Amino acid sequence: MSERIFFIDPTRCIHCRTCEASCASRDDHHGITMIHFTTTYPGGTSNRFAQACMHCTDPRCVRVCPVNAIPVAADGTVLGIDRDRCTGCKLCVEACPFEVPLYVESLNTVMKCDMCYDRCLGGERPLCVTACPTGALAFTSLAEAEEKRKGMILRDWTSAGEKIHTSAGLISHDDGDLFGNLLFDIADAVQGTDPSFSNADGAR
Amino acid sequence: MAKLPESIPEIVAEFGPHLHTVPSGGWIRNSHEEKMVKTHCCFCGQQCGIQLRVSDNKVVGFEPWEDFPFNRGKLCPKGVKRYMQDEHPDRLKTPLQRVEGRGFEPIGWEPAMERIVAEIRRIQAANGKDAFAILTGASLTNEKAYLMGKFARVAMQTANIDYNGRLCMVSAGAASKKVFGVDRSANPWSDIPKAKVILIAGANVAECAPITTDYLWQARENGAKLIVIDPRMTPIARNADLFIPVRPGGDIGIFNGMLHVMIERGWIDRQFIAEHTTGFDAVEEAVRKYTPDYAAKIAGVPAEMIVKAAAMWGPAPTSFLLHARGIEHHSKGVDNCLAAINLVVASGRIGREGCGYAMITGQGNGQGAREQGQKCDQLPGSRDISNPEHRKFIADIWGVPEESIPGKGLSAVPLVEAIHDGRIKGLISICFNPTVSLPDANFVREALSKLEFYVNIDFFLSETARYADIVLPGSLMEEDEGTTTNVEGRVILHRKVVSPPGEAREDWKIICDLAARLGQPDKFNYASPKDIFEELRRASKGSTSDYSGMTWQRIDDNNGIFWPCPDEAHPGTPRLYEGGKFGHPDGKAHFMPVEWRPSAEMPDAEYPIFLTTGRVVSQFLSGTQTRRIGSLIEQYSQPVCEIHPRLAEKLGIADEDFVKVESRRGNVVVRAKLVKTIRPDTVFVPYHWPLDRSANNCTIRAIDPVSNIPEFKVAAVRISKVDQPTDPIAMLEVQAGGVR
Repeated sequence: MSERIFFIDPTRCIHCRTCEASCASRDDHHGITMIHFTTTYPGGTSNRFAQACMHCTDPRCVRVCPVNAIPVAADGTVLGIDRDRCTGCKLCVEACPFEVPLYVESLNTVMKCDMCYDRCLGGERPLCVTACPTGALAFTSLAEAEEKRKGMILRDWTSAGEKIHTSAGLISHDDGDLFGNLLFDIADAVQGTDPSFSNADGAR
Repeated sequence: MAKLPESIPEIVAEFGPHLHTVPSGGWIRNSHEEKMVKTHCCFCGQQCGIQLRVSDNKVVGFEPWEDFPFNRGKLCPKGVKRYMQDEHPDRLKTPLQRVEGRGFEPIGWEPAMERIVAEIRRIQAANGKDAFAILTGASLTNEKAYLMGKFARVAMQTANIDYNGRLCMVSAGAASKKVFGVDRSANPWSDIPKAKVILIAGANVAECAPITTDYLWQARENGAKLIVIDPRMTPIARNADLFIPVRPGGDIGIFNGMLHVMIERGWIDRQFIAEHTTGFDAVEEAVRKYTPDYAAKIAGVPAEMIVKAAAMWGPAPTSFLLHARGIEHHSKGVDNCLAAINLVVASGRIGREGCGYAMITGQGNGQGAREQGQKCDQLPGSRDISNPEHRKFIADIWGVPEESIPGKGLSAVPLVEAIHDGRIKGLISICFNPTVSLPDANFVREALSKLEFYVNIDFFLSETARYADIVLPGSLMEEDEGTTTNVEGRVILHRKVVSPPGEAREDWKIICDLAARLGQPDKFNYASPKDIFEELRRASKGSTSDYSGMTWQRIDDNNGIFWPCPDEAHPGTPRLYEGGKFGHPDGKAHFMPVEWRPSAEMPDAEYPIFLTTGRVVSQFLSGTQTRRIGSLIEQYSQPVCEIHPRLAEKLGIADEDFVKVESRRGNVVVRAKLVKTIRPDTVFVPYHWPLDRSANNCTIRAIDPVSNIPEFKVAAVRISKVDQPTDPIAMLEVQAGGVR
């Protein structure tokens, strides 16, 4: 596994979708983004954060593919799908714990994030990471991420009873709150404040 | 008479906005035929570095520019998709003339220009020089902004030129000038991560200046506390240490309340105040009555929040204050800014590493375009058009008699009012889409209908251009070259990436041609934008915004140069006010006492709810460009009315219902979006869309007495549930003003 790792830091994410816009602009993506937003429902509200391929060390998508269409690079990067081999059976779509592979009907193939393997080989970072305006996506060493980012780096998961280790990490903050003050309701915060300066009857 | 020559659906069918979804040449390209050009984004005041991929004189894609120090490759969805405005089916490629009943038809440059000159002469001869006005924009380069100001005063000799920065930076600029004597962000952005407390007032940073978010998050990782003041919980507020959901127009309550507490508890720098400022006594007197309880009544928040903010800001070792349109778009916009700046000066934390103040400029050249003389009251070098010495200096540069330079003209809103009441009969506009961006849009459309002759210069047929008699095809940012000045005061260079298509021309060539035809060929005899910059340098010499030591080469070599830069050996000035030396002749900062007053229109029994307006991350300003880019419209297709569930319940409104938001001036019909992130006495509608989807149908034509900025952030409205509209406008595509 290469020294640099893909990190997702949901507290920094502003849901601007620059990652999707830039991914869709890659030459062989046909305008389709391989990174997408996943919705979670912490505490009765919803939040979305960018989900790219987490690059499992023993990737289910690779295991279930009947035609060996998902190659793994020597450094462990789970590469994009070989469109000549892919039959569009979608077993990988079903298998992935992170809902990453995407079936594209017009091409009858599945496509997935390869972490911009070509760019990274040349010393660059994945395009979504480079363009991300907030640092919600990062591509750096574990040591640097631990030093520069507060919070815990999560790389071990359980899905359908199976323990999964990923190369990519999700940064979870100390208080365990991934997304900041999501439960905040402004109405509670301003409850009982004096309306006399506004005469705003609409809301009392 | 300039009225729409055919129906709106007919105009839209021909000129758009249509969506562009696939780049020139398709998605898969042959990369070795390409070149990569380092330039800057055309959109907001951040002016991020970006590389454009070019093949066969066509922009076909983008690549981050990681070496540019301000954004280091970071972008936003607008910047990433900017290349989709190139090779666009709506692109204007020939001059057009209005033909009654038939729409807009091509006309040659020669007859178009002849007609324009004849109409300018006719209208000015019959009604005086000032009866022909010019409206310009803050997305123009410094060179073009300079040219427009000179064109108005020398070639047209009209006093009436103003620009759309009047809707953007003027409150911040006026306040900064009053206190500091200089109108510019005081610090480079590299100071932000070094601050231990950051106060953000009325700035939806994540959506309107996305890459600045990273600077804030860096500060947070470094242990900074973040205070956010906004009626809405914007994405940055979600992670704030203290979020103060201020009532629209109540900001002064928070600022004065904080200063009251800071004085009471000794959290001000008396020594700094004594040595480097004037006027603090009056401020101390003014804030005496702003006890937390009193201040909280104005701000519409609990008093504890104000005390907590003071306790975070007051004793901090380093600090940074940022504000934007949220406190500036008010009929007391200047006062709001003054009250905020007082917190900075009273703390003494300015002009040092990690200590400072910034206004977040909105438009691409929001900073530079306000310095080069296209404001109604300014000459180049931020000079005052009413100051005899300033007039003489510029008259000498231009080679004209001082008395030939007109005096102060009308600012944007009064200028449109003068069109409406018939005092102004002719108009040239460039880079301005007032039917979408000015308040009280119905009034603006009426005014434009009354013009005897209207010339619009643009690259797409904007909603405003539909009122024109002649439309001239100008240039996109990537089709010309020139400098802009970013949010930090850093002057940067935009490269020409491709040539204008068809018969379209670079804007500066159009203006110089027109000036020559108006009898001033010698004074507009430039060979290139660089030529114009050389004159601009001389015109700015010795002024506050001194560019005289800059050359395009130096700008390019240094990834930009911060003004003032008075000579070619000078490195530029990233951080202002070092050593407590301010821009006024006495070298001091001048405190200004501020008293809260109500907004021009407060909610009442008939219109009981606050309307506030703003932007979303995937659209830019009036949308002339971004409403033509497929993925940006897909991201946020049509305006919605953000409304708190408690208010919605009271009004019987469910999520996604259509609602009519109605003020005394007009209405907008949009879908409701129920969110707990807005005050229950306030609704929000973003303003990027036209016609019946324009939030500005409801906003008020009230302006700040000093800056003349309109009060976009406070209007009184009522809201009711309505059926989905099915009229011809509603049936248009969403980017054109329809509903989905």
